[in-house]
Amino acid sequence: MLTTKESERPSIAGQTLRRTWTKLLLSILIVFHVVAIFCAPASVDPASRLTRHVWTFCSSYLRATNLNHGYHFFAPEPGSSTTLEYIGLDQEGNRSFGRIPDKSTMQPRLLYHRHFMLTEFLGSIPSESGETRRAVLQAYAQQLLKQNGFSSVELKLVRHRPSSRQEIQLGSDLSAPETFTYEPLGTFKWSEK
Amino acid sequence: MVREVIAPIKNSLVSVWNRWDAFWFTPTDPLSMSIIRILVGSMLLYSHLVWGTSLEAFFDDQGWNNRALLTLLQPDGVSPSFWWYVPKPWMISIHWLCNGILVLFVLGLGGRFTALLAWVISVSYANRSMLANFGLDQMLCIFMLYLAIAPSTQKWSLDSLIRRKLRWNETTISKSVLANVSMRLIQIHLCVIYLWAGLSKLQGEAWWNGDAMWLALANEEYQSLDMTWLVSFPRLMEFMTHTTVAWELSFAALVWPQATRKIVLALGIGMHLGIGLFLGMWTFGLIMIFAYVAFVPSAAIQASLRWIRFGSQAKPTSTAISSSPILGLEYRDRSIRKVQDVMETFVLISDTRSTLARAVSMLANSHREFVAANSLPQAMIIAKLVRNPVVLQLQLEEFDPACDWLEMRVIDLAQPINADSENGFELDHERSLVSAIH
Repeated sequence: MLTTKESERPSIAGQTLRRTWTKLLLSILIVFHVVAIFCAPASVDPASRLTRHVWTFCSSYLRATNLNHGYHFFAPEPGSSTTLEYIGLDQEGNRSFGRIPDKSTMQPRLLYHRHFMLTEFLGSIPSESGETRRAVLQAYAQQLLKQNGFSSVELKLVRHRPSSRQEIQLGSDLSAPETFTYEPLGTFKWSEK
Repeated sequence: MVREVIAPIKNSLVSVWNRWDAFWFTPTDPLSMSIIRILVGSMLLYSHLVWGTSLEAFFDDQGWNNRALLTLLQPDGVSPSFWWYVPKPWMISIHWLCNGILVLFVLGLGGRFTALLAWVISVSYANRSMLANFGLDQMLCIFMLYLAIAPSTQKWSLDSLIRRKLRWNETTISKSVLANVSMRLIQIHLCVIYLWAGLSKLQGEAWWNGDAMWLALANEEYQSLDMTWLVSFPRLMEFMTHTTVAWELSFAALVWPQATRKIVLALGIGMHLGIGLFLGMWTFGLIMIFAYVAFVPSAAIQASLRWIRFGSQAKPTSTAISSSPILGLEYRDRSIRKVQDVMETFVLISDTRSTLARAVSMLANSHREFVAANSLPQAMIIAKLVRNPVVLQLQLEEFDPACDWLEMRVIDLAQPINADSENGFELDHERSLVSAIH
């Protein structure tokens, strides 16, 4: 017959204690983690000082683990999308036109989407953040020059707003010219790194 | 007097701790996490193969994710990634080495070591290619962290195959506390994601006036199917807009009760399939659906797999099973409660004496370990069943004479077994009660 022997009791008690402490430690880690992942989206503007303070406390952990996300999908509302058009000039003086992202050349769709995120990021930079915007533009231009062997590249930001329901009902379509706005961003050369 | 005041507080605290303990630390079958490993690991591998088509463009210091630019954007220091230290000539080799590790992870070879490496890889790629990331990369990093915590290579893996070939004791791959912790973390994280996705939409006018769904579908850069014909159904789009917000806001509350879980998850699957179909983001849509596996108990998955197997292969057996009542025996050992203030519940279900004997033998092993280690293994052994409580009772007495109080219920499982958010199983239908005192 199997019985729990008296001699086993101390070791059982010791193991119970160890397990309890392990669970307490794990519980602390779990609470920290859950608070951190909750605070990441809560700290996105508009945010209270409290959530920002807590986020500051957790930010190193969140960034290191790539958990620092807002989860604001299509929020506050679906809006215009941003793409980039470019005209490159190679050493022989030939001009090439291109667009980022481009569904016709960027396959599979995931690759297209990753390029789309690059231009969406550019479009999300507030106009007052001059230095950041310049740095992003130079980085993108640098990549285009390198990738295509251009000696210079002219960039244009394209914002495309979704057509309204009324516009579609009146016979317009999603690619109607009036739904696009263009912003010239300048010409970039190798020397402008 | 003081004792009268303290006692209820103490009881409440103990009750809270017990609930917390049961929620987070009840050992669970790692099957769900193993399935998530295969699904998420395959998606991660696909994502990395796509990275490979433009590796230099996205990961070179002078590429889209320019080193100087990311340093400027992160004044407190760039997010950690091994890519910061990879010299350009080694990039392709390192990339294929990473893909090789991801293949091992999907196949389930190398246990937690491979899982940890796969997590480091996923985070390193995402942190280095920050500007090109979107929801898919976020979800991959989230899942990979939890898959590294869980024993996710214990089932449906080369590890388990090797274990079987070497005839290692099957009890060594029993339920795991960390499988439960990681499964709970996925569940909680999903709730956080949907809650904030819903709350952030409340700031936008279009989500209130019903235009948002149209605006999303009319975004030409996203759309993969022309949905402008929906302009003729404005009320439908407004309904979809409001339903999306209501669903996201209520997910965290409604996904837990058994009565609403299936509805909430079905709506989620529909929404994410829509994101894939209409907005072209199949990868993101699918990865979100993969997360729902965390809400399906392993035993329910096993039951489904058994049903599929018996349904397709053994029709006569299947008919025989469905024509007889299905009974189980729930066993509670109150003696354990005296030692450590917990009560363990086991369910034995079997259809033959040999299966029953094996189940009892496994349970006995588990229980001995339980008594010795004071752990909380919840040994639920599910098989098909026979109605022979006397045999079952004798077997129980044989394997566990140490317990001084047994409560046994014969349970009718003819009704579906419901997944329970806390214990993985909930047995709804009791037939009779048998008690035995040793």
